[in-house]
Amino acid sequence: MLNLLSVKTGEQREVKEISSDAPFKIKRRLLELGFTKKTKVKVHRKSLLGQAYMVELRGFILSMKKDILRFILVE
Amino acid sequence: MINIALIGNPNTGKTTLYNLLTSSREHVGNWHGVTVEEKAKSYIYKNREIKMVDLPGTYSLSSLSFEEGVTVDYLLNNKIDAIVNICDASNLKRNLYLTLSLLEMGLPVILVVNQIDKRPICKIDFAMLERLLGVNIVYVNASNKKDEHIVNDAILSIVDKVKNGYIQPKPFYLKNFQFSKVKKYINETDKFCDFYSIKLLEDDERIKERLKVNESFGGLDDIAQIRYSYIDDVLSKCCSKNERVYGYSKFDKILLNRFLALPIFLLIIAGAFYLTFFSIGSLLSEGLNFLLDKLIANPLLNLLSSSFGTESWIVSLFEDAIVGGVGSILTFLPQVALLFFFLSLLEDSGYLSRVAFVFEDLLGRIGLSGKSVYTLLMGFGCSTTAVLTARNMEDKNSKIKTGLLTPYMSCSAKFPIYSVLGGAFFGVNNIFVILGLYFLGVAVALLISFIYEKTILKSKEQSFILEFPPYRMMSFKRTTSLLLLNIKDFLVRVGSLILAMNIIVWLLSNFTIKFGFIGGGEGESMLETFGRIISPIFIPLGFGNWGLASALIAGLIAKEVIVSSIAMFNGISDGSISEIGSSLKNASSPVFFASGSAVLSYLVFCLLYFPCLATASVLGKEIGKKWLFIGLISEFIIAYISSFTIYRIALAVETFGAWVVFVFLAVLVLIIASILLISKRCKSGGCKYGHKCKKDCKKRFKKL
Repeated sequence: MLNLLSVKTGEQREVKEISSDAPFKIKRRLLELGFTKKTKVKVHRKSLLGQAYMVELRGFILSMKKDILRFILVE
Repeated sequence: MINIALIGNPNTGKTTLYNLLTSSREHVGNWHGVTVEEKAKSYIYKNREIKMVDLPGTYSLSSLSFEEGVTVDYLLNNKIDAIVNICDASNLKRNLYLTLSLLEMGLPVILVVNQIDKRPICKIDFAMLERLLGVNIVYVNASNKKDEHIVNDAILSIVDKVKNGYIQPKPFYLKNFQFSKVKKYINETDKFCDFYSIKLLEDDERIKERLKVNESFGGLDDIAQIRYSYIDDVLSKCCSKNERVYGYSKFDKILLNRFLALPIFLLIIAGAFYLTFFSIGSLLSEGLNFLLDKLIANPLLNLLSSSFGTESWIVSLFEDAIVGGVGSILTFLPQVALLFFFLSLLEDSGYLSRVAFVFEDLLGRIGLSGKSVYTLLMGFGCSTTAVLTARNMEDKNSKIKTGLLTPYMSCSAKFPIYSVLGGAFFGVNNIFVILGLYFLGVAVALLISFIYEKTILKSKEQSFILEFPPYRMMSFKRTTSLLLLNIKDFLVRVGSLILAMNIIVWLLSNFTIKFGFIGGGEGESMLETFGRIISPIFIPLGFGNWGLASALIAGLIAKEVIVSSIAMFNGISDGSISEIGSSLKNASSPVFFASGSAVLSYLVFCLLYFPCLATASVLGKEIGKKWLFIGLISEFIIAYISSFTIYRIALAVETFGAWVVFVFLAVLVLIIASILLISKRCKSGGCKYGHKCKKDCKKRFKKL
């Protein structure tokens, strides 16, 4: 299963679902922020050591920790 | 009275609107969660009293974090006439999610669409939006004074409509929610029965606990999906296509470049500090010192001594405590105001969120989160207010850690100590001493965090998610009002707390235990008696002088008092910084330093020992008594060890020369390297994915 972490920077993908491994709190936050099915997402850049990612969805930008991207499964 | 709750996503201009409506001056910034607790204020509009409650910014009505809990509880437990929900016109797509949750509750809602950025991201047909959502919409710019009445009129109009029987329509999609699943748990006469049903379907822990439900429904995905599809549908009908992405900027190509980001940040900070403390700031300070001396201090003292005579205790009180003591602090007004101004500038510009992104690499590793950067940077201004900002961290242990680290930052009150004491002994080189102290504070904080992370305060789930706000320029109006506000805050602090403390120190240092006035004559003051009891513990650190020890105690109320106390003990009556300096070098004055090494040691101790009383009490409330106690003890121990080490090294350098430093550094590097080597080895059973080394775990982690 492909997750957002394995998507190349600059490439646009569609969200499939939030992984069932995700802690409930994180899952809820991700859904509230709009990582729902079919949402288009794009990774813009990583920080120097790759711990933080800059992600675009629904017309805005989020800064997220690497571990969380793993829970976002994409097509 | 009309009760209004002000709700919105973080960083949508909620507090700006609150300030506009209630004529307040609450702190605002281009950052998440500046509002950390509810604030309320009443005002009169068209002869009617409106009570406005500013609730912390939240993404939804679930109770994931502290702020959200506050908001949900407030809505459920108070009688509210209407909700004012503020959205950023440029980010409606996400902001409307919360609006829908509010509409589902059935409370009357006024949707305030705030136009922050001059160039809108898309064109919105508000009449259409109003019709589709079934909600009253007003379109304003929250920083524009003229728009005040638009919001107030909307509030009055909806309240009157409700009086005449208007019921806020709920979104039509509610019928698609599977309420039948939770029906048996819901009291259908409850005003918020739909809200409770939704929360149960979403498996909201707090609501489940409240209604004593154990079953799990798993409806979260569907509900979020339905709400967002609805938003997409509505917006596609009334908005033009987005012209750009909210928070995306060309500048980020450079500012967030993988390799340039950190150097650029350091340059910006160094620039701000240089301007504050050394160029403009210090020039203004010298000017102010001169003016205070010539225009206020000297004429006042002449007047006093001519009317009361030089021996009177009143003259001594004015000379030493008020003019000398307060004057020596007042000199730092320009620098403190500038420092706070630059911190606000950083916050307002939207750059801080980027800093959090850059520092996630480093801070994530030691169990903090990028969000801690905000708290730690604010700690350079004032630790008391900075500690409060740690609230919006999601992980409890990270929050405690961030709180415990904040006092190690060199707050603005510590700067006068560095400047006066260091300036006297190190002259132009003091800039390096001060720089070193700022770095030492940060380094100690990071080290302590690392130790906490590995021992007693392991962070559990750090879900670092932060929104990128757009870059914004500060308006001229806001610049001036911020500067004035900072100047006022400083003057109030000096005029109340520091003045009072100076008078207390003066009393204690001018009267004997038997309450006899000393006034420059023979006899030991109360403070001297006390100081002599505790001062021996500081002898190993190079400053066993009673005055220096007592100043440290006085500094617990406010760190600036350390400087003013020393000025008082040495009888510097006009607050002149250079005179305080020269008296410290003179071995015949009551308070003096034997060597530059002792000064260094004292400065390090001032940096690291207990935080001021205000910070300690806020910390106690935020992280609990137990952690406060642990924090205070460790601060004292760390301060003692650091001062001792630095004093001994400095002494060795004084006698043997600079090569001692290199030897010391080499030993330090060796120690750190060996610690790192040892910690690299994985403990057996320590890792979820195997028993081998960490690197192997990482590889497996990727595969999963």
